[in-house]
Amino acid sequence: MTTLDAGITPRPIDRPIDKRLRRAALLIAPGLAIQAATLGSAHPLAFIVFMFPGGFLVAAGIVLFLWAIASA
Amino acid sequence: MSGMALAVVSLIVFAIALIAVVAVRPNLTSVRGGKVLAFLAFFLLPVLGTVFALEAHLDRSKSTEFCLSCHVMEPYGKSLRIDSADFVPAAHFQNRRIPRDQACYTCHTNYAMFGGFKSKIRGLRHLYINYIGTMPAKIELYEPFQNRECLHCHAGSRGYVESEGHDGQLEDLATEKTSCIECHSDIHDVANMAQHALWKEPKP
Repeated sequence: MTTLDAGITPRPIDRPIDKRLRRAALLIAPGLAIQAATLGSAHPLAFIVFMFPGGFLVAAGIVLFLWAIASA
Repeated sequence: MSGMALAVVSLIVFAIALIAVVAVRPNLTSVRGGKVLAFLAFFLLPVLGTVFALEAHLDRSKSTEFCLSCHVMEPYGKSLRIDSADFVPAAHFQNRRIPRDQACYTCHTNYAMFGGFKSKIRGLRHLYINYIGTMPAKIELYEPFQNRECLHCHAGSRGYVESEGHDGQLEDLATEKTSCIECHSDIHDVANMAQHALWKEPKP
């Protein structure tokens, strides 16, 4: 990283893996948050929400992460 | 929230924090330590968090509260409070012969190999039917109630072995030739709940 004459530090150029990591983060973090939230309830609907939005988001994010590191 | 659930939530919060660090500074992954951090944050911790959370959910699915949260099960829950010692589930529940917080699961799981697993698969099917499928007009067991489920606790107990009613029957009961519920036939009786007085547990 260099500092320009005007004193502005440019952002490092994103590598393709960086974008994929951010996308994976956008899937995994909400998925985990949903899963954590469902642990507060013993209702069957909590289990369904845990499995489907929660589990699905985490699984999709992990797949995206693995694809990102495999293709890097 | 149970201790296990709190531990799982803590693990998940930690995983989200690490994910946020890597997402904000993805260039961290250009060095070896950053790669390890990304693997922990994006793979290992989410997998562990999901597995432990699933275990916590499955454990909770054994609770009486969980079973009775479906509207169709309410009369069965009410039948646990029938004020009569003749009714087998009510007598077991009220006298704490079974854990009250796992009353349904204790008698209705299958005490054979993979019984707990089969119960959970059936539970998933029940969820599907309750929210998406069609509720059957009459709720019935998948298979006749097995003595094995009673004998899991009663076999060998003095009250069971020395009971006059069981004289000469123990072999047949053990081999399922005679069903326990042939004699102990007062079960949930949900069709006649209006006729039964209900037991109110005195507050300490």
